[in-house]
Amino acid sequence: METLRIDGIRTIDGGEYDRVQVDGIGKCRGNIKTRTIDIDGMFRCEGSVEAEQFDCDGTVKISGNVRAGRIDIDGIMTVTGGTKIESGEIYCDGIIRINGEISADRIEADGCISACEIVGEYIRIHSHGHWLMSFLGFARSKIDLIEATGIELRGVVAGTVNGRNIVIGPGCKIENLDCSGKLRVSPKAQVGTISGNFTKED
Amino acid sequence: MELISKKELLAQTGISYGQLYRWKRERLIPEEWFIKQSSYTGQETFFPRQQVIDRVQAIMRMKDSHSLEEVAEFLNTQDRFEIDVESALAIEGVQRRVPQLICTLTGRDRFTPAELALVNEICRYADCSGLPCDVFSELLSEMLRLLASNAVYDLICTLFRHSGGYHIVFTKGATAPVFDRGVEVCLSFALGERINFYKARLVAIGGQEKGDQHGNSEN
Repeated sequence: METLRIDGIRTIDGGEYDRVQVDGIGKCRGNIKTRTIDIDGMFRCEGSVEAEQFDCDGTVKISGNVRAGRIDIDGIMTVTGGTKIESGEIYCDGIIRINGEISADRIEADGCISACEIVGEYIRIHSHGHWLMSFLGFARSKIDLIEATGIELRGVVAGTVNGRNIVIGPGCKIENLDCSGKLRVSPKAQVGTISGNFTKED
Repeated sequence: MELISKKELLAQTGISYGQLYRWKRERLIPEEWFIKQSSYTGQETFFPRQQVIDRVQAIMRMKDSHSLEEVAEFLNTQDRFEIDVESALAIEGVQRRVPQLICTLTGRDRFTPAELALVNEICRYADCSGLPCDVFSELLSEMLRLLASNAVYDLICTLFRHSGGYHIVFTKGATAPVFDRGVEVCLSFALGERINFYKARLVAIGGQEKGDQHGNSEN
């Protein structure tokens, strides 16, 4: 399979590739399936993206679903519509925006995530309120539902957080929380109702 | 359709959030089974109770000896591999008279997991109700013929009683049919999930050696 490289401005139909490299401005009208996709420029895909490795240091906008083995976002990923991001692992130092679900075994974000649901095995979101994030209107991560076996949050606004072992750090605002294992809540966090059979830790 | 909440499912089966969502991503648990309903905390997720419990139990039996891809293929394909009487008798939950009864009704010495699931569930009902299994022989014979010509098992099987006689109906989807008061529903079950249930138990018997070679307990 071939390598697709976009250096200038180019529109493609979609297809199956070994490697997709976007350094310029690319647009894809269909679905893409590739071993690796690397976006340093701007890329817009009107279909779905399936990749073993997904790297974005630039900006990417996807209208369909995203399915990957590993996703690394240092730039901005926007997934439009009621779609989903599924991956084994997700690492985000940039921004992820989706009006749908993010599902992964492991999610570690030092950037900002805005989603309806984030679910998985282990979720750590530490949104620091970086000045650039504030400028872009993304000081804290905003998620309706977070559910995982292990959860660690900082600077997150969430409707519901459900998990086994949960750490709610400073800057969090949670409406409802249910814990079935160990729970630690920072005095600098706001949590509404807490339920479940848990052990409180200081 | 009886539902079970996500929280209750995790508590009852002992699985974690991570496992549940991993199995959803790998299509081991169909997305359409995640039923969202409004609650005072916002939205809560429910599942068709018996179907999801059967599915989770089947996955749990197989995950230590098979990869998730293999489990997904096993659960989602409508294969027609055949079982003999001896293998069927080794499956936990299969009544002793059932394998031979199927052979008598079909005229064959081997049968499919679908045939086993149908006859065993009806015989279990007969036992619980204190009825002799012969009461259903003719009905079962007819339904087994129908099953043999049907390639799809994503069906709800309902045994009901009307005007003194027993009848079986197969309906598509996850919801049991609704009858008027003149009909007594005796038994209703998801045939596909029952098939997977018995298949998984059969694999567990034959899969013991494979389990010693590679453990996939993190799945």
